[in-house]
Amino acid sequence: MASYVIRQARIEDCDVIHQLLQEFAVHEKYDAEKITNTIKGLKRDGFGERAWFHCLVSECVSYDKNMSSLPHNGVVGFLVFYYGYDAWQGKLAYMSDIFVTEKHRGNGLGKKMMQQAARISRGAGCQKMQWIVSEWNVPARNFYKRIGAEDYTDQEKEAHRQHYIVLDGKDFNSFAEAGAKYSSSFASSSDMNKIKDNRCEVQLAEELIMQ
Amino acid sequence: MAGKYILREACIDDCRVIHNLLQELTKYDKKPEEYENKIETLMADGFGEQAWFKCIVAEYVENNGNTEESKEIVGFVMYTFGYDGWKGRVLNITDLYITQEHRATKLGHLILMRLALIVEANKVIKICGIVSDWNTGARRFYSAVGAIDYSTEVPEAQRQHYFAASWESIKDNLKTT
Repeated sequence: MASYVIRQARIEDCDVIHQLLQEFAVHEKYDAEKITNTIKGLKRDGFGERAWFHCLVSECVSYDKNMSSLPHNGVVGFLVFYYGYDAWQGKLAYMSDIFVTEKHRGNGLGKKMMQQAARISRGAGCQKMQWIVSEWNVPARNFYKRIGAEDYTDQEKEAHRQHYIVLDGKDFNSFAEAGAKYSSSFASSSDMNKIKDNRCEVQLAEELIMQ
Repeated sequence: MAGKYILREACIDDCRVIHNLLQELTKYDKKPEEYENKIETLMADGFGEQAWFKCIVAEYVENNGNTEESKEIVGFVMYTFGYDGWKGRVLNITDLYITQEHRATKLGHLILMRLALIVEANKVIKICGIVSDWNTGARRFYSAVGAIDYSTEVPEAQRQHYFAASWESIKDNLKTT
């Protein structure tokens, strides 16, 4: 019998988290190359000046000698979450990724990691958690419904249905580049450095609006 | 009368107007009873020690001819930064609203272009959001810049379901022993 701990991820875990992400992609029937995030990106974004996400890992701490050697230095699963906001209901936590490597499934690690994420985000003042699940993942969708979550996409009443809208890939790149066309109208070049802090007042020339 | 739009970062004094505009939004929403947030909460959450959201407001400035200027907030976009483990940094659009009189102007597009600048400056690789089914205007608005509805516009098996749970509804199922 193996035993596990759930703990906060450390910067050293980024290598194994990246490997698990690639396993995750394959598990979801994509190629490992679908993981365009890098180990460097994970380290910079999770453990740098600004924490773009929080991460919990499941670590296998003792196991039967008959089990094959542990992959990944004992880390067998992870959960990535971050704090967001709902204009109607206030502080919330987004669960962005949750995965346990195949050999260690069936031990309730997913649920245990969710429990910790819920406890931590509750402590930070969140009253709500939200996440996205694929249509094909029927076991996950059923599990979430059993624990009291609501599927806002699968609503009988159209009026209550929520759609998950995403802009990424080539269209995202075109969109971001289009902003550059406006940067000279928006602000002088010396102000561009201030954009990151969102502290510059942006005045739009009249002719831009009155076309 | 000539008017122009100024887009700027919201400040704590804007919370009253933002709150009023959010209440205008609830009249469209089919679940108005879910709107609970108070002005004081918006002020504390957006402008306290830790900012839980960011907000850009759009002011409409009109010159009344007597060198007087009237200024009014006519729209806003509320957003947060987030993450996608697979790809990297994300920007979540929480709410985007423009008052009736200022729709079908360039303002919506200008707000998006402001977001585009923010996205570039912060090395964000994806924008996402949740839109209600009935909100065909919003769905068209985002579709026009290339956004995809992952709940309906992808092959069925890959469709994404948005799940949410309030602490009240899951606490007994998730509480640690």
